[in-house]
This record gives sequence, structure tokens and C-alpha cells, in this order.
Amino acid sequence: MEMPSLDTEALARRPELINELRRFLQPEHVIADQASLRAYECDGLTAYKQRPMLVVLPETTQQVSQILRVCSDLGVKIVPRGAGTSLSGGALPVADGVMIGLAKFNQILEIDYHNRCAVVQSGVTNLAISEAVRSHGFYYAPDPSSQIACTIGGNVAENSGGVHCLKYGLTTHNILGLECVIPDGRVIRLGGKALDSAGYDLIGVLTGSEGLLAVITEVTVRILPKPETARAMLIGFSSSEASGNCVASIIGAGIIPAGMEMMDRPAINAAEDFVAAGYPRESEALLIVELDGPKIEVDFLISRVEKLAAEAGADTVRISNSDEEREMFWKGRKSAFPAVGRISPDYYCMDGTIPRKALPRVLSAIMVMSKKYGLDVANVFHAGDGNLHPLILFDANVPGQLKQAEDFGSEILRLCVEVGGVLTGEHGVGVEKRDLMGVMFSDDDLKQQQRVKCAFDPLQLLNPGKVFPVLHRCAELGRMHIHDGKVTFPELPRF
Amino acid sequence: MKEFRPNTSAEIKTAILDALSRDRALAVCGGGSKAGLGGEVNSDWVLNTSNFSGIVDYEPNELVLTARAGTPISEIASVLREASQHLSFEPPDWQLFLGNEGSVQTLGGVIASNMSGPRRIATGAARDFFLGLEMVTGRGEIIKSGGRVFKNVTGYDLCRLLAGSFGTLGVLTEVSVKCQPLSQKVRTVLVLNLSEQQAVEAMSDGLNSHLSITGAAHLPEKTALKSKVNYVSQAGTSITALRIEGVEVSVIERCRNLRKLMSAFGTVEELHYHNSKKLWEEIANINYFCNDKESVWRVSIPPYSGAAFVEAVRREINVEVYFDWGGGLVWVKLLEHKGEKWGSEMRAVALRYGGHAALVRLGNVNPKRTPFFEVQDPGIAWLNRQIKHSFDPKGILNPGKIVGALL
Repeated sequence: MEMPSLDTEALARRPELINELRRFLQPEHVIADQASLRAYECDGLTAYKQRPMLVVLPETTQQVSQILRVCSDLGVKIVPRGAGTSLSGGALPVADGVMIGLAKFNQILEIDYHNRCAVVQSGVTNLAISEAVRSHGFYYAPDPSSQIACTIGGNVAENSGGVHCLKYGLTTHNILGLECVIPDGRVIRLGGKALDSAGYDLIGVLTGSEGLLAVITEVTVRILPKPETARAMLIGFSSSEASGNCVASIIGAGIIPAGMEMMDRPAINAAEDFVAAGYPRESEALLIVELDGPKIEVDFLISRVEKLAAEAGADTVRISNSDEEREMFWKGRKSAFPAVGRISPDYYCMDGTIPRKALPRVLSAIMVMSKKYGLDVANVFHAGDGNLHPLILFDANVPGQLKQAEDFGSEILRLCVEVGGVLTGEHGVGVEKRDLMGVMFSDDDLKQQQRVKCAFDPLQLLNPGKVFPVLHRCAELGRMHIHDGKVTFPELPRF
Repeated sequence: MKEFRPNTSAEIKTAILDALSRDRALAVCGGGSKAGLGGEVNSDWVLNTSNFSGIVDYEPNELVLTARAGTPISEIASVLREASQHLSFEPPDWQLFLGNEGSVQTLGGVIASNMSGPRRIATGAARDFFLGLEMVTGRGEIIKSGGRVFKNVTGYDLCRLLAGSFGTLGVLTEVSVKCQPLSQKVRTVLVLNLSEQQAVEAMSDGLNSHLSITGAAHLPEKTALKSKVNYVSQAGTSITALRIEGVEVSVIERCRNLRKLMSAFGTVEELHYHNSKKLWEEIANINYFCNDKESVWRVSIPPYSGAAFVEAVRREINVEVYFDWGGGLVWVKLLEHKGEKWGSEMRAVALRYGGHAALVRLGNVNPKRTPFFEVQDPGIAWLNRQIKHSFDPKGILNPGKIVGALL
């Protein structure tokens, strides 16, 4: 993975930078010693490691603003970091840049039940929001598997999903306001408690921008009344085609479950070994379907799904009868990644999204690739919204296997795009999928995205080396062919 | 004035390149249903997308429809209805309100103006269902963003930037939207004779319950009188309406529970399918303010502050109002003309209550003095200009349409 060339000038200014930063940050909040810096050298994508030049831990928005101002004055790169749970290297440091850790932004500032929203600092964890409002019967809907640790600021940066996206949407559908600091140090407050705001949807474009446009310091999230009941079903099938057909027939019947997940046999068995959730080990594919809402509605829809499952040829159907049982059904799915981690020294998690109908084709192609690369694979799949997570098993200590796993993964993602899908559904591009962006986008597509980057960050100091495979200078991107004061297009046919 | 009616995206591109090379500005429009909305466009040529029409792909089981920007919403609605689906953000139709009877509302127009109806509080705005686009930028480049799947974080979400950009960043050519199943049953619980503040509280209680309310509106008595739904116009009081949708067993039970909850506030009635449908269409389409020409403001505000905001406005000027989005969307019709400076006062009051105001029908206001909407914060205004410049550096697309002279 090639990163932007090292800025030796910035490295030479390290002592000056430390002095500048310690003028307004407490000395212990400017981390400069190599041993402490090591804690920040990677995020959830552990295959890539890089120690940052410095780490700073601001406590206020004003400090973030000052840090960005100092860095942009000196031309020093900046990498923001929440909890470092990114699976795509979004928070991978750069050797010649300052990492801004937002761990100290951990306050819930306001809960407004009348307007169904909460105002929280960006370092608050996803789960902490739901816990803070639980006593009033509310929750925050997006629930990525890392919700215990991941921060809401990181969720906004990555537009995180979770298992309930199908019904409740991604992060972008669940936020109302942002406070952020743009690279020149200006603090920008967007939106608030109203449902929309004037001008271009800057919140929309910041969400999922992977820390390349601004450092997020505060988020206003929508909170929802918790559904009266939720029940889950475990439905086993003897083939992934049958389970795919069942998913299509549930959606086709006009039912939008709160969650609809699929696991293949290797994933089922790994999860079962790990948490003994009662998964059917003999099934080739397992569907977990959760329905939520008023009890009478949930009971009604459960019986309809049960019938649709039987029609699709289900081998086994289990329905949860208590919240404990429902949570047990989910436990296996939610711990699928660590469960697979136990059966293999390393695994590499992919994240493409495909049209649901392409599932049988993609799964059988993955099996062929598995043989070709000589690496096993376990599949977990957000079946409702087409988001596929193949986990490629490998051993990094065997020379060449990491490369093999990466090539395998990249072939899967190319296939996802070929069948009409996309490279990443919720983990982000980061450094991991950066060089595959050209598979999905043309040069013109990517250049326009980079112009949006330049709109926020003309010096391109924020989170460099992520998302875009080719670096262009902003001035070059902005150029149009001007001749005699007019834009010229020699090839232009005239009306 | 020269008008282009391109039939292909290549022709749209050619029109934009032509305008760029001859230094001409383009007014971008679709079927004309929103003509008059937004600032006056200072243009040399017109680019009309209505010939670039047709559904490209629709797969009900994938919940995704892709269509060309000029495709009429009515055509999309009827194709979706056959598969028992719909656009659940309820695109409102403002033809009557804006005096554009007989025009055609297009998908591109709905998305470019991010128009969402009453269900916005429950399921989201137009932009929340906007999955992918192909467009021609103001630089004359054909680009795409997003895709045909719901869960997608590959690259920046340019769809959200384009939703609500009113044709000032680029011309949409192809749009993919997420569709949703139609509800089997729809009912509306009415609470009679509440004050505006009581109504906001009642709607808040409804929305905070787990009854999954998909519409919450309040019509003061004077507005309710104009309804075509007899139960509403003949009530002789204000009406607070809460909508419930879903499968039959659930709708019946939730209506029962909602009536119980609302009886603490006042007398309760219930509307069934057709009346219910009619009422929410009137609310979405601003039918109550259709047969007149006065200035109308659309104010987006924290829902629980809706009534207090209106009270503050009434201290300054005589208005007629109604509320949607649980109080979070207030339609304000001015019943007197207080001069041009009133526009900035309306904005100031909205800002004080945490919202913003857009002038959606001019009436006798001079659009040069009172822009459609305004971005007041200098940092946000700078970002808006930067974004505009990145898509349309020569400023040839819909100049003057939004944010007055800013863009």
C-alpha cells in the first residue's frame, strides 16, 4: 500500500510543533514518546501499521480548532481517530502527521425527549447513547457490531450500519446535526433539532466522508421509542439458494423485518463452537429474521414468515419466546467475527454489497475462488440489504498468505461491482479498498469527488492517503480549458 | 429564449458544454410543476429535461427503481402500485399551490428539490431514499455516484448533495431510488379542538409512544374549514391528525391504543382509508393555501417549538398557519404585507427557535430583496460556495435559484 511521500520538512518541524501544541494543550495530552505512540499505530485493519509523528488528545472544540490551525499553518497532515475500530484503515496514522484522538469528547450534552434527539460529543460510544436513553424507553437505532467500543463521531465519518439498517437506516438517516472543525480551523455547526436545514446538505456529504473533510466534535442524533416487542427466528436451509429465495419472498410479501441476516455453514459452526447459540449445524445456510413492533403485529408477521420459510423449503424453524432467547439467537451472529478468529490465525473481512438476486452467483463464485487461492472462507451476510461479509481465513505467518487473502478479497469485490453492487457497504474505503475505487468509478467520477474534498480541504492535509487512489492537486482539479476568456471544447458538436 | 430539450444524457452534456463555451447561463427545469419556486434565475437559455424520460429498471424484490430524470412521478407511482410499493417519502405535488396546473412533476425535480411529505417524520426525506445518480456537472462531465443498493459507503455521498440543490450543481440524468411496500391499512385518529400548544404536546406524546405514527399534523380551525374531508371541515374546531399504517390487525389495535392515549387531550374521531388518504394529500400539497396569492413561508423547526414559534410570529404579523411533522414543519401564510424587511424578521424568529425559513411562494414580496432561503453562518456560506464552485465553476446552472446572490 503506497502512502503519500514522506514530508521530511514536517518531520523536521516536530520539536517546533510540540512546543506550539503544548501552548494550549496540557503536556500529557501531546503524546510524543515512541512507546506511547505505538498504541495508536493501527486501527481494526491490523495488517497495516504506522506510528504517527505525534498524538494529541484535545478536550474542547476550541482546542481542536487550534490544533487544525497550527497544523495547516505549518502544512502538517492530520489524521482523526475515534475508538480506532475501523475495518478499512480509516484511522491508520501517517508517519509525518499528527493524530487527533477524540477519546476525551465523551460527554452526553443533552437529551431532548420532546424532540426525540440527543446531543452528544463525538467520542461517546454508540452503545452509550442507547444506554443513556433506555430508562425512557428510547434507543439509537444504528448498531454496528463494534457498538460497545466505536464512537458516534467514527460512525458519522464511516456512515456505519449494523444489523437493523434494513428497517431503520444507516447513520446518515439518523442524525440531525453536527459540529465539526474544517481543516483551516473554523468551527462549523450544521443542522440541529429541526428535520432539515438551509443550503446544500453538508451533513449528508460529511457523513461517510471517512475523516477527509472535517473533524467531527459533536453530533445530534435522532432517538426512537423502543418497539414494544421484538422476536427473532432461526431458519435453517439445505442450500444458500433456498435461503436467498426465502429472503426475496419475505421482501416480496411486503414485509420489512427489523433485521435479516444470513450465515453459511462454516460461519454457523464457528459461531456455534464459540457461543452455543443453538444454531443448526447441519444447515448449509441459516437465516436470522427479527420482527419488531406491537406484539399483535409481530405475532402476525412471524406466522407469515414461518409460512414463507416453509414454502422456500426450510429444514428448521425456531422462534424466540423471550428476550433472552432472542438475544441468544443474535449472540452467535454478533460474535461471528471473533468466532471465526478462533478457528483461524487471521481472517480478512470483506464488505461488498450486491443486489440480493445475485447472491447464489456470488456465493458459488466465492467457493470457486476459495479453491483457487487455497484459502477457506466463512460468509456472513446482511441478507436484507445485500451487504456481504466473506471472512477469508489465512495465516499471516505463512509467507505470501496475506497477499493471497488480499487478492482473494479484491477478486470478490470486483465481482460485487460486476453484478451491479458496490465495493463497501459499511466498512468504508479507507486504505484497504482505495486502489479498487477505479473498478467502480471512472476518472471523472473520482475527480469530482476529489473536488468536493478540495472544497473543504484545499491543502489536502486531512486524513491523506485514504479513499482516493490517485492524488491530484486541487489547483489541477479545478482547471478548465480557457481561451480568450472563454471555456473551449474543440470537439464540441454544435446544435 | 433558446430552449434545449435533450433526448439523451449525451445531448444534456452537449448543451452544457455549449453554454460553457459561449458563456451562457442555463435555467434547468423538468415538467414545470415547481416553476416559480426559488429565486429568479438569470439565464440566457433553458435546459428542459422532460424529454429524457422513462423507467430504466425496476425490481420489486430488490426495492429499487431507476429512472431517467424527466420521468413523471405519476408514471412511477402507477408502476410501483402494481407491485404494491410506493415512494414512501410521499413526494408532495405543489402544482396547485404554485399556480402551475397542468404541468408534470418529474422524478428529477422531486429529488433536486428534496421534497418530502408527512411521512418524513417516520421514514425519512426524499434524500434518504436516493441511492444513486448519473448527472452532468456544470463542468460538462458525466459522472455517477452511489449505486442501486441500499447499503453503500463507497466514496462521498454526492446523492445527498444533489438532493435539494435545485439544479445548481449539475443536471440529474438518471436517478435510483429505494421503494417501500405499501401499507395494507391506513387510518387517522383525529383529536378535536386543541390549541396549537396542546396539539404540539399531543403529537409529541403520539410520536414518543411505540405506536409507530407515520403522520402528525395540526390544522387550526380556520385551516380545517378548507378541507375537502367532511369530518375535518365540519368539525367546527381545530383538528390534530395522527396517522397509523401497517397490517390490518396491527392498525386496528394501535388505533385503539392511540385513541386511548389521545382522549386525555380531547374528543377523538377516526378517519378510514379514503378520507385518511385525502387528508394527508391535502396536507402534503399545501391545498389549504391554494386559492390565493399571498406569500407563504415554509419553516423547519424543532417539532416541540412549533407552537411557540408561531406565537412569536403572531406578535409581529397577522398569519394563517398549519403544522406538519409533529410541529416541525410550519406553513405560514402572511395575511398582511409588512414590507420587504419582514423577510429577514421571519428568518430571525425561525433562527431564534432553532430552525430556518424558506419563502416558497412570493406573493407580493420582491425576490431580489428576500431570497428563497438564506445561509446565515459565514462558514457554512463559504462551504456552500466552495461546493458550488467545485461542480459549476463558471456558475452557469440556475444562477440565482437558491440563497440569493450567494451562489
